[in-house]
Amino acid sequence: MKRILNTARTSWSLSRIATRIYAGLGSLSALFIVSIAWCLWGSIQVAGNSRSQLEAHVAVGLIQEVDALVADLHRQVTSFTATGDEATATEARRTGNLLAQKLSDCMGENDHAPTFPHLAKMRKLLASYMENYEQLVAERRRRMHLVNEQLLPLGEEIRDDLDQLATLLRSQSGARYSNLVVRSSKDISAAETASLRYLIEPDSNIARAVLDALDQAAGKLRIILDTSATESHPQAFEIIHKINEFQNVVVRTTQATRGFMAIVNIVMAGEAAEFSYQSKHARKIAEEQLALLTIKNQAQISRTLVVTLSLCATAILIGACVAWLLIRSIVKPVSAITSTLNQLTQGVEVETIPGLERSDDIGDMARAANVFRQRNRQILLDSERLRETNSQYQELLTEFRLLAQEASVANESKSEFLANMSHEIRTPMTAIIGFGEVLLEYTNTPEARDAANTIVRNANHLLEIINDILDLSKIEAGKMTVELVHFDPRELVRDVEKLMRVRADAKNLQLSIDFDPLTPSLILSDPTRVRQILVNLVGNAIKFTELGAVNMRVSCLAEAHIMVFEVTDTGIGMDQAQMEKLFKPFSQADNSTTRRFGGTGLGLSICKRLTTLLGGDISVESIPGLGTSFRAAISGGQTSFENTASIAPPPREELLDARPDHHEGGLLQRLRILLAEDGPDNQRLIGHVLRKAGANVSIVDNGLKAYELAMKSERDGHPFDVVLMDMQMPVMDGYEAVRQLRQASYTGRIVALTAHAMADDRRKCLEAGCDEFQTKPINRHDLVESCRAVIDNPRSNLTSAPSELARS
Amino acid sequence: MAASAVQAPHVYATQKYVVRVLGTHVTLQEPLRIQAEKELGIQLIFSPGGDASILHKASTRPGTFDLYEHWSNSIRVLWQAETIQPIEVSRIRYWDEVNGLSKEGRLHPDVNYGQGDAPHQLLYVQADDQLGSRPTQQISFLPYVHNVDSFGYNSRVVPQGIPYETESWAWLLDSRWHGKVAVVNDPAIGLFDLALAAQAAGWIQFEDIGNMTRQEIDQLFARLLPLKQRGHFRGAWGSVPESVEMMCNNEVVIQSMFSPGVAAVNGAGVPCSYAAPREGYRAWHGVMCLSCETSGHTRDAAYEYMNWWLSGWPGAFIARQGYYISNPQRSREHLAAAEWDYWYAGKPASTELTNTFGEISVPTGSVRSGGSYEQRLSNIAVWNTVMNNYEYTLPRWREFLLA
Repeated sequence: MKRILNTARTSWSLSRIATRIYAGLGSLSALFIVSIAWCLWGSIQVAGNSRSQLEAHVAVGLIQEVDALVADLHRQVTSFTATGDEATATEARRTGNLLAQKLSDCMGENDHAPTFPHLAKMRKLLASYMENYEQLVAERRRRMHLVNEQLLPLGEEIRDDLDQLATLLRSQSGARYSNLVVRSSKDISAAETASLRYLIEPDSNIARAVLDALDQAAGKLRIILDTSATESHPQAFEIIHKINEFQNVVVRTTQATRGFMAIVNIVMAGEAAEFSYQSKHARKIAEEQLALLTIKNQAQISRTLVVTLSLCATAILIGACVAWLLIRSIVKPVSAITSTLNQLTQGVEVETIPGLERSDDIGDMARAANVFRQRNRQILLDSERLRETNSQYQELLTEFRLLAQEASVANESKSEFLANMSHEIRTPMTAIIGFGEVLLEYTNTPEARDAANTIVRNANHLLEIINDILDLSKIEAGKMTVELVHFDPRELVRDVEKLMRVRADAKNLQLSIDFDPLTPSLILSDPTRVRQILVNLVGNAIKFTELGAVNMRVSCLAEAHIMVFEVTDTGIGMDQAQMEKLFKPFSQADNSTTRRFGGTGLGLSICKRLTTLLGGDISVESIPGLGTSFRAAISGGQTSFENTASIAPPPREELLDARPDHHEGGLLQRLRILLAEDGPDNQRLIGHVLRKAGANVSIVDNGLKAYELAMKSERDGHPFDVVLMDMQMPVMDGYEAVRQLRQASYTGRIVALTAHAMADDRRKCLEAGCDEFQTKPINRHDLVESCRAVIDNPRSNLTSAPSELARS
Repeated sequence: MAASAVQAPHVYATQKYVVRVLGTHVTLQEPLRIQAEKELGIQLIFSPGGDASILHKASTRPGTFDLYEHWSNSIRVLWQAETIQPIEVSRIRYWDEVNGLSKEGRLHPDVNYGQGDAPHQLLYVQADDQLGSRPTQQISFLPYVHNVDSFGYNSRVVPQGIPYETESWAWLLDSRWHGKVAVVNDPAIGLFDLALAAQAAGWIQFEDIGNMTRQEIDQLFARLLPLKQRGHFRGAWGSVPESVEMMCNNEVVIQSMFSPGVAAVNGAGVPCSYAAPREGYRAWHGVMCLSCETSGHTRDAAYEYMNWWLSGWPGAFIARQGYYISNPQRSREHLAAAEWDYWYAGKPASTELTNTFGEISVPTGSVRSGGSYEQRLSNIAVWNTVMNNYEYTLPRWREFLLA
């Protein structure tokens, strides 16, 4: 219930670890973003300040330029004041204009700049200064005009007039009046001199002296006017008038000089002083502003630095706190739970789970761990029980092993038993079948013949069953071995065809062979087993076909070295269910089949196991009512395609086959045969068969006798053509006898006779020195053929080609 | 038709004559112009300007003005330049009301004359066409506005002094106010402030401060130039607004000042005390002169304007900016009792008083520095004067300005 509640809790609640981690990292990120933003803001501020700094720098520079220009202007004005040089006047005007322009540059667009009021005043002052300068220029010109055009000429003129008057008076009234005129002229000269002095050094006292001198000059002339003869009056009057005019010019010159001086020394000087004050202040302000901006900028930089560092430090601190908190509240509890879980995993009993009381993920984990602990306890209990069970199982297993061993031994015993049994059964079966056939030869009444036939047929069936059981048990006991030799598959298939033809003919079925053109001439496999497979398949085909044909087809998948043997019939066919049971031992398509067709039902099981042993498999296709096709594929080893078929002589079997069975009687004409056989029934039966075939038969009942007799007849110069040697005999068994014979350089043909149908037995026989191998119960035809081979193959050839013999 | 025939002569009588007045901002004020035009039916063209420039204009180009309003120190220049003509005393309506200061150089016989060019010495046109103190029927100027000047100081910075006792011209040279001292840019005025200061500081003793010798002038500037070079002086102002700005901007804490400037500074919230120096004031006297080229109806109109100035209203108006008129009693009718008491009687203001712009300039209870008209005008150290060595002072003044 609590678990459910926990999972239901909102995923963003603070009690979630993820939320806490997100919150911690989020606050860190936020701090970093704030740091970066602050840094950027600081940089922008610094950049802005730097721009202002640059502007302030430029402003300072401009004001310095203005100062320099003012100095130039002032020098030019001073120069003009002293010299009156027009070129200088023009130069000063140009400087003034330049200065005005420079001031406008200084002021720029920003009327909020702290220097602006000063610059505005400077501009106003400059305008006034230049206006006053123009007045100065005009005033100076006027003064110079007064001096050059009026003051100086007038003084000269008056003196000339006075000279003339003096001359006139001297001629008229003597020295008295003329002396007055001369003194008046001196006063004029003094006034002239004084006015020149005034021009050089303006002074009200001098100006007053000039006017006084002129007054005196005029006063002296007035004495003449008052006292002298009237002729001279007009002239004297004229001169007094001119002196008054002179006085007027002097006053105007004085005034012009004062005005001129006032402009220069008061107005313009005041403006210049104020201008330089304002300039100085503007410069100071600009410089202060520059310094302030520099300081501000530095302060901004250090503030930004400090704040950024503080933010970073805070971030680091918070990071450390977050880490500490994570370690304290998450990592440590998680670690504790992990170690608890490890302990639990290692099966250590844990008393308490840390963090069970927590309400967050760790609490969830702890609760989960608790569940784990409880289960662990359960598991411990279970495993205890399991251990007990296991030991029981172990005991059982040991028991089973013993049993299996026993079973294996039993199986071996069974195989042994089966082998013995087969020998024991075959031996009497040889007698039954043999004498059944003998009986048929000598019986003429139909009833007796029918009875004898029934005996032979059932005995043969019984033998067939026994052989199959024997094979299967050998395969299952692992006793079936494969002996790989090179052989011609076509020859083998023809053998089988020849073998099965009798049965096919009996049912009036067509038996045919198709060789694929690419069928190799030589393959590496076990021909005995291949033959067994084919005989079985063809036998089956014949058995289950009532009408039509049975076809054997041989082909080769050369690339994979696979030989394919297909046996196709036109028989009753099978349905799917029947096909599925087909290769299981002791099962035919159905129970009725056994009843209808007979057989052990072991044939296809044996075929299946044999093809597997030969590195292949067997498959079946069938359509009920239409027919069946078996396809046995086996490994062909290194196949050879040398086509021997065309050059090979017609198979011997075909020649033999042409001879009817009843001609057996003359086949072994005059052959001397030694039969070593301990069973009296078989001695009689085999002896009967051989004698009937025309042979001269000597019989012994053990191996030693056989050896001695064979050697004796050999020494005597008329050796036996064939020695038929039973392998299990008292005194000396067949193996030993053959070995000794061969050791004694006996070269005659020896055919082994044994009830042991197993492959091992055959190999043992051949190893012992036998040329051929016949199993009991004997097949009369086979026995006769085996003996007859001596006639076709002289003894010297037989020894050189044992493998050829082994094939039959 | 009958009605228009009766009114016809009036049409001719209302023809307006134009009077061009050259002067300073002190007296060329728009309210005065409007009032005069209204009362006189004439047209007035005011051309206010700086002292030096208007003087120059007046002394050189008499054709450019009809009346010239300036200070008594301009008179010698103008009279010598012959750009002004004598004024007939008989045409001055209230001549008899003009007080002794203007006519005799002092208000009472027991008071010392101020040194320099006292107005009465320049007033009368003598027989030899010179100006003198001997009364004649012709005068070189109409005596009208006058006042005493001293220095103003920012009492927030410069400790408040006691009038006539501790307040001294020497304060201008006090190194405590280094860089924050200014004088008026006029050798005929500012030079006396500096001379009074130097004398009060004991640097120099003048034989006649109103007529300094070249040696004295050299001595004075020998002391002033290094001071200026060291940056003791902020500079020299050329007009009253400049002086106001300087003090309000705190460029200056103590300087030569005119009464309207002091009022304006106080009006701007800077406490400016107008000193009553124990050495005495520098006095000035306004002069109204008639251009030598003015004649006929224009001259008649000019005489009307001169008479209007002594008719009471202008005196009352100008009293509100701290100036006195030469016939105060006629103006008293145009002043509130509180105004008269404050401006002329030296009594504490019984109510708030407004200036010429109608703004409150005198808080209730305040007393005019230096006291009553009589007290102030009885403590004149020197009159603004164009000395004989005036020309000699000019280059030195320039040197001082540019130092």
